Amino acid sequence: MEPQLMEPLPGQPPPAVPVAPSARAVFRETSAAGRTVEVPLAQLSVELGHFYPEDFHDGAGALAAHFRRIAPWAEHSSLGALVGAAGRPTRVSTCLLVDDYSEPDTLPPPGVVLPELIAAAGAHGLVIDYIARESACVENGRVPLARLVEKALIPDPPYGTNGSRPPVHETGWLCNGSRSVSTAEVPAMGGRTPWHPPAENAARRHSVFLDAELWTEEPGPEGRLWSCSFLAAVWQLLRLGLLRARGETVVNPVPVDLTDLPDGWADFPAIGRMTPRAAPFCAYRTFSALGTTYLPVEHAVRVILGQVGIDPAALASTVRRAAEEGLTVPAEPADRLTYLFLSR
Amino acid sequence: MIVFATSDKGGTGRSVTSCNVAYRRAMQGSDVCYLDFDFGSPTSGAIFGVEAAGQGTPTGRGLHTYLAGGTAEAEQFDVWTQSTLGGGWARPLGAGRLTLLPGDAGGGEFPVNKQMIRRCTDLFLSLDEEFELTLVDLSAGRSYATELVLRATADPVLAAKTTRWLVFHRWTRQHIVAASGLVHGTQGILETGAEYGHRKPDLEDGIRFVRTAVLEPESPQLASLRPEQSVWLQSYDIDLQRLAGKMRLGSSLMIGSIPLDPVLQWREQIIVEDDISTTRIANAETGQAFEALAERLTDKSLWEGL
Amino acid sequence: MPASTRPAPARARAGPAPAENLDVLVGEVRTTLLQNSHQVGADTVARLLDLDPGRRVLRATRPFTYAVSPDERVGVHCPLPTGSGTRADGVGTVLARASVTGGIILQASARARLVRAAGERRLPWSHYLTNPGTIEVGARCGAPDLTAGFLRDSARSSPAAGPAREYLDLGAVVNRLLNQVQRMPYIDRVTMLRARRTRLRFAVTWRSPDSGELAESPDIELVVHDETSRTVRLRLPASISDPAEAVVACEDLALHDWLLTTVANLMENSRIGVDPAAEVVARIRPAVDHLLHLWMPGARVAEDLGWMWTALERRPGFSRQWTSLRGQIQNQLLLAVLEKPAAAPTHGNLVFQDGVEGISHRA
Repeated sequence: MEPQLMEPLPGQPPPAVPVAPSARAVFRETSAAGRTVEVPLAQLSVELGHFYPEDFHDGAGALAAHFRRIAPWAEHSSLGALVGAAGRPTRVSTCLLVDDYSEPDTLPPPGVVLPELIAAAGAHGLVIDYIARESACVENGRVPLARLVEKALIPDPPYGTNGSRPPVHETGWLCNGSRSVSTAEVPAMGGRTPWHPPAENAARRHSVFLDAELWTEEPGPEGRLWSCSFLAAVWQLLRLGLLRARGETVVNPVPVDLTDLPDGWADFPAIGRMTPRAAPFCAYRTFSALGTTYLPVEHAVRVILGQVGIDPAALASTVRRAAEEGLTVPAEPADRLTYLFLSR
Repeated sequence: MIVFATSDKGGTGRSVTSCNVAYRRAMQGSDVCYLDFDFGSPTSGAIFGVEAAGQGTPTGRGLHTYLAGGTAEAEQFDVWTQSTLGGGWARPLGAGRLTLLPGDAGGGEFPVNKQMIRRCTDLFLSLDEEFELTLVDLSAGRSYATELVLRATADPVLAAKTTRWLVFHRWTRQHIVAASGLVHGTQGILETGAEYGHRKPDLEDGIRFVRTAVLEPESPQLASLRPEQSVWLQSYDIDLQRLAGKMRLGSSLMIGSIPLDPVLQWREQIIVEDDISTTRIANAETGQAFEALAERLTDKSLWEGL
Repeated sequence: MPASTRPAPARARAGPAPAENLDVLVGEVRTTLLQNSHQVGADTVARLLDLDPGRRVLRATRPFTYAVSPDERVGVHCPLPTGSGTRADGVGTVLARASVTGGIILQASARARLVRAAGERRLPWSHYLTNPGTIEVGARCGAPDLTAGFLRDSARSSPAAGPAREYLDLGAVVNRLLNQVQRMPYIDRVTMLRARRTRLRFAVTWRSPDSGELAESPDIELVVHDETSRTVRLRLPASISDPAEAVVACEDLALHDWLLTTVANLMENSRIGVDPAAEVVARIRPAVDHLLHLWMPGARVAEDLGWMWTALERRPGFSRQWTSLRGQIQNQLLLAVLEKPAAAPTHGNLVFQDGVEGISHRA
């Protein structure tokens, strides 16, 4: 089954009624045809960590400890196996995310953070290809990514969802089933609905119900503070090369000159390329090495990813290009994620 | 155009007059829809003789459910084909559409929330695409229904639509005071409307009063009064006129006066030509009053700012 | 995404068939007038339809200006109506889009392909998202049963007692989309002409290649149920494989049916022969200004669906009726010119201030 079969097809050749079979006109208007650009793809995107401001207050020792523990898992040979390309040369890029979003004032400037990170990683044989700032998952300088992904959400419908009601978007929450209390208004003297438990859709007998907060309201121009889970979902989609804005790519890594780092994070690129010959930032699959504290966040990420409507052309292109390399890539974005959760 | 019908007290004959105005207006050639926003008592179906929705519709697709988000589209009844009054009417030649949107059977009042306002504006906008006149009969007094439509009409998406208000009251001291209070008083239409973002003068320009169950002192119905009664009545009527003027609902703001008609006291119904000329159960003056009010709804000269 | 970038491959149907295959395209189109005092320009149209910051509005200028929003995707999991009443549940997504033709006619359509679910149990939601616009049907019921259920005018035939079951409601999806566009800030919402929303439901099936000579003979069944409701049943040969083309053809049909319905209604209510022609012309003027030139049946329809219009022109003869309406309008215009000196003083120009104001004054 081809997903794109149902896509619109405007700008057809004109009059079908009176045209003689011999005279076939070809007519096309470029504005009438959609297009989706392809992005460069590595085979695997390895996330070496997700760093909060406090991670830089504990000194270089804490960072070193983190990289020391994940180094064995980030070796080329074991990574090859993850993409099904064992024994063959693999295109792997590494990246990490610095949180300049939740508490921007407490994060030391790039001139402090970057050399520290690179040194700590290098001490354990790890090369960091890309460094991204978390605020770029909200807005990358050109595209409001978080809003874009939120708009692409197609909430998992509990049974009885027949299209008659708009999906509950306003609340800023997304769950994987049906909530325990219906929020529908009850008229005066109307019957009350009895309590029922929440339920996970497509549960295997018992539910693991999860309700993830996407954002909270906040004064300011954006009006919202996006949740860590939601931004982490945007981050995964960026790494998977599945996001497009009006068909164009939203991933544009900018080479970073370590000798000339900006004073503030706002002037740091959305995604900075730290090594000149790095494999592409986006990849067929992602691998993330994280502390176990991220486990609930990543559960939410998977719930969110399972409800994002991806540009079918972007989705199909990753599958096709992987196949051309003799690799298989699962159809569903959430199935392309691998994790290593590290205990404390 | 959207017209809201309201009254401070129950029993003013607001609903029955509104239904008759809608009927007359459709007879005059306009496409009219009638929305039953009398949420506590959705009985317009009975007045129109639409039995399937006599006390509201039982299908769960009435206005209560629509506004609460329980159904995507509110049920509509074509009065010309669904009414059983007078053995059923066919749509008369030259008449416009007459469509009823009833409440739900068993529906009650409910508090207003944001989504409900959105649904309400969507409803008004989509009806305005096809109907020249949307007549909304509201619950009496300071009701949720009134709050809802005040908030909905304050939404800029309805800015291009003409909205008018008819405030119904009987011709008694208490009703005059109450009607004035509903418009000008604390938490009245003007004060509440301003809170929701209406410009008070604009809102006020769109409000007119309709007197109901009126006994004109020179009416033939009063021919049998004793002279003392007549004199008292005349002088009291003058007092009431004065009071009405003082309460800001004097004759310049009155857009209709519906005479007392026995048939409406006993049975709330649509008065058709047959009731006046053939069976003669209704007075010709009543029919004329409805007819005139229906016309005046869009008579610009009567709605100019004063 | 246009199918042109990726040619439509052989349909799933052509593969090794399980016991009973299913492939039905169902949809609904609603058509109405964009609420603006005049027709809007191409750029405004593009903003009106820009419903998703992530995707593009597609625009064309020939043979008339036309723009279509990106597809909105709506998740559903609900019972599907069947002709026989057999219970059938479906899970998947509906695709919906809005379009504006000629800067004045607003349409929204929703559609989904009904296919057989691989198994009994519901899969994780992400599975359904990889195939947007597809609803997987769990029950064993066949295409004729589902088609019959979908095309039945459910709003009217549902038993009066008790609320109807919550069947798939494409109409609600479409209506919501229309409302969303009509409340956009870029239009003034001044109604130039009262016109009803019409709805056209369609169901499309493909003949199996081994159904003999019937296999290549398409047919169309158009039913007008009442003033605003129509259904279309299309049976296509397997060679016309692209469902997107069928959707475009149904939208085109709905557009022209709406034009006919609206202009015919307007003529009927314009008191021709009763009022002076100048007043009649004032009432029908919005149609003259904004609608008459949009009649181009089949202009956007793919060549291999061209037969559809050819058949409809034979019977009931859409263009015949249109030509007759145009003739009627032209006659009134002519009469208005002839009658001009006599009519002016008595009736003035009160009549066509605005649809409502006018009517009360015409007597």
